[in-house]
Amino acid sequence: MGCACMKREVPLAISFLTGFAMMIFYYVPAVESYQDKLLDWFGVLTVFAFILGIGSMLIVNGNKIQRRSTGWGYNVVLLVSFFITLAVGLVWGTREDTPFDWVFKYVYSPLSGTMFSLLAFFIASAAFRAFKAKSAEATLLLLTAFIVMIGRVPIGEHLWNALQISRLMPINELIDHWIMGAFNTAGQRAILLGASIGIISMSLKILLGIERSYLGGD
Amino acid sequence: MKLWPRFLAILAWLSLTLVHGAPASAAGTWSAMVVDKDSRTFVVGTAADRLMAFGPDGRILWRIKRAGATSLRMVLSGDRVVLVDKDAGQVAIVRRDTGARIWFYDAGSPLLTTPILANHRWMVAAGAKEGSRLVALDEATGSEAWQIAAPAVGGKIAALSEVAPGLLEVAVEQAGPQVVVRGIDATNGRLHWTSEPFPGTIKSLSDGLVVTTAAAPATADRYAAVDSTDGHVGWQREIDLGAYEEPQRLGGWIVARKMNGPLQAWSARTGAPVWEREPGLPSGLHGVEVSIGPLGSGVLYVLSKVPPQGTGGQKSPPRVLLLALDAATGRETGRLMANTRADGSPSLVGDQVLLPVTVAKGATDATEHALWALKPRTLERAWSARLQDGLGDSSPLMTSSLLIAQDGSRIVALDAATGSERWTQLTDGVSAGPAVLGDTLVFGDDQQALRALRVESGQRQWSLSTKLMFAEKKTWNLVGVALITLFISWFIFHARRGQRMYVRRINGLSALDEAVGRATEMGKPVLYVTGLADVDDIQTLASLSILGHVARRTAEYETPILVPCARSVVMSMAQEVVKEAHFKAGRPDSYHRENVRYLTDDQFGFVAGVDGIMMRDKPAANFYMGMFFAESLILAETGHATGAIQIAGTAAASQLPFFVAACDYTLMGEELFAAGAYLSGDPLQLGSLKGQDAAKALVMGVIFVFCLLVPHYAWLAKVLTP
Repeated sequence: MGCACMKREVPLAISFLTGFAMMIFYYVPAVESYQDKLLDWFGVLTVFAFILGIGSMLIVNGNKIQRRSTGWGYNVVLLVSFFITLAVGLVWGTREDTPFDWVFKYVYSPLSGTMFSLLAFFIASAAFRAFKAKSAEATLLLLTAFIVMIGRVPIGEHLWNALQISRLMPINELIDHWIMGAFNTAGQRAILLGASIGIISMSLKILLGIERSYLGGD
Repeated sequence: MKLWPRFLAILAWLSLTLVHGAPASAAGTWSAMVVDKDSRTFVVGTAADRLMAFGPDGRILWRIKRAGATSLRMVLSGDRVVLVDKDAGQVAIVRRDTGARIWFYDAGSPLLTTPILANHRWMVAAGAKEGSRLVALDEATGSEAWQIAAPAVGGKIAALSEVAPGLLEVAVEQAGPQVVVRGIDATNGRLHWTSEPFPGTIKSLSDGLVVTTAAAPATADRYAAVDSTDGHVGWQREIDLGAYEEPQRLGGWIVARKMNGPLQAWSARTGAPVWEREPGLPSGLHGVEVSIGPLGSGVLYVLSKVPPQGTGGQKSPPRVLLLALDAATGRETGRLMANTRADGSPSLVGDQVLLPVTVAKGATDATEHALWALKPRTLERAWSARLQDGLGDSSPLMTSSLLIAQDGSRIVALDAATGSERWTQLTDGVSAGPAVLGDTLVFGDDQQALRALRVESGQRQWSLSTKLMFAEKKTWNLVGVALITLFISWFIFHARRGQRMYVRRINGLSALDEAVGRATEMGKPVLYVTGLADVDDIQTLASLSILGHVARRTAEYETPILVPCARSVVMSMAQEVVKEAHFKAGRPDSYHRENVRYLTDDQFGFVAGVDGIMMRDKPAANFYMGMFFAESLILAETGHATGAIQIAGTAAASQLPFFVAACDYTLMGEELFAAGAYLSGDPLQLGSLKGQDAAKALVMGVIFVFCLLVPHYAWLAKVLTP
């Protein structure tokens, strides 16, 4: 019984009380500083939870190494990298010109940049698949994307002017003012409005305990 | 160990309540603090959009609402306080003793210059679409005495000056660009004269001296003396800003330094050269910064900051040279040369010249901040006081025997004669003041509180919070939230009473079972990514809600589910959700904790890890639910390459196009938040969905109606503006 109460009612009570308190802090500047305190508490919790995360990572990778699963060498690389970086940071600190800084600048940053650079290729492949005139909407998407893409490069602007279409409207105005400024912005705002109302609804359900699936079950 | 995840999960639910995108403080900024020695009153504009007058004992005399702009300026004038809000275009006069408004003027557009008082009238220059206008308001009543409307002004008013009693000089910028100066009678607004045009834009106008800056053919400052009787230009001098560093008008002189050359001074009265001299530095130095000023008692101070010269291990230390020159002749009266770095410009405080510096500490490379007090003409060092963080942008205050300075977050009082530290007080930052009245020093801090210290001892006297009990700027926010809550509550109430609610089909959610079924048939696992945000983001909670349903299906079909997480707290919660789902499906033995794992907090490290899982384990169904950033397309494309069916859902509008292009189904924005209700079929949750839709219809209606009305009823826009 006590265990069931701990699992259900206490978390719901905590959710309601702190949620209500945060709303008060938001509208009442006189007590706004307590919000910062709660955020600090959250930061402390995150640190403890981080220990669990590290534990999970060590166990999962350790088991794979132990079982000699396929590609277990990469798990060794991960664990070795983890401990080396941890040791380097603990021993020499994390300031500039320390070994930790060297690892960040010459190992982490290039790797991160490499992953980011994949986006350039993936955008091309996704665009190639998506921009096909299969339906009226898809054709409209294709034409719009074409105009925006050629408008962003100098040769596109020259082509637009050479074809005398600029007499109707310069391409920059068409893209910036109409396509991006009017249609695209209107669409994004519509999505944002809907999402915002959805957020309010979801938050209300969580506060009132109607939505409980995040606790693990109904 | 079992208790740990549960304990953390419960405590982490605190994060449910942390407002996603926790709002920044709604505070504005403090205005300058004004001290009225006669009535022994402090007046300050607080960060909470109030104007307050209070006594040295902390008693509030009055408090009124102000427009809330940061451009508020206050002037004490007799028994009145004059408030000027340039951005809002408003001028108000209030009684100094009660704060009661005497009169108020709204120009309807931002003020172009700070109003001036001339001939018992406040001269207000305001901008308008068709140009600018000049309005004269009666000092006592605020009523309009006269106005020069836009066409007659002939351009944009850039500066105002009362050059003689009852005579205004008005600098007007015109197309060209060029500037003309008009002489206007302050009594009736009649135009007396107009000067010849000067090329460029106005820089300053005072005492009949017009300074303009032209950009072509070369960037130059032009100084011209305009006769107040007829507008005739007595003399003009152009200083090429390509050849001279920023010229300064200091008292009766215009002083500038030729690039890497001598200092030159011209008379501000006649324009004639007065003197020329070298700045006193050795030749061949690079990167020297010279600042000219201040001027006090006929002595001009010129500071030269010399950065380290040389390269590698042969670098010389930074140096500073401060010269005291007789302003009339340029003759050197004092010199200070030191191997140190100046942190700011010299300032005249009391009868001393103060110079903030950074000095070397001992024989090591360590440095410390200090404040030097120098004798005014000779620049002999009177004393040096050590500081912790330096003065920054603040200027010290002088009382009878103390020098009060801001040293980082401390207020420190130094003996004015010896520089010894008398007392120090830690603060939460100083945003307004400090100001001194008698034995009380008052300042406003970053926590929006007014604090008072005793000047002689630094002892805390009182503190006063200026925060409001309700954030007025959020009124409409509260009304909106209340209305939406009302709608949702209404429909929940009706759902509780058994009313059936129709919800349209959401393809992405209907395909959920199909996707899990496909993975089961192919004997491959299901991959579920909860996004990159932490549990304080509502999208992550929505994702965990959907995870519960997906996990239950996979448990029923005995299909493995892989849930890589980018946050430890999310991992803990996801483990609980998946475990509960397996228990509820009657398959506790099929739950494997290591399938719900933490990878890394780093964005691209996480996506590299997930991509690796996709390439090795080849899941047949991928779910991307939550907050995503740039990595969304990398995930979706890699998943597509493995041939998986992909269902994505996010409220991040910038990532939706990538998911729509690369995934089979996408839940857009609110559909992600509706998923939990849709999948559960719980009447209460479906009721909240209907309420959400009704609120959305209301918002659409309001937007449509106000779009039609606001162009015709401008006051509506002001009503709705916070």
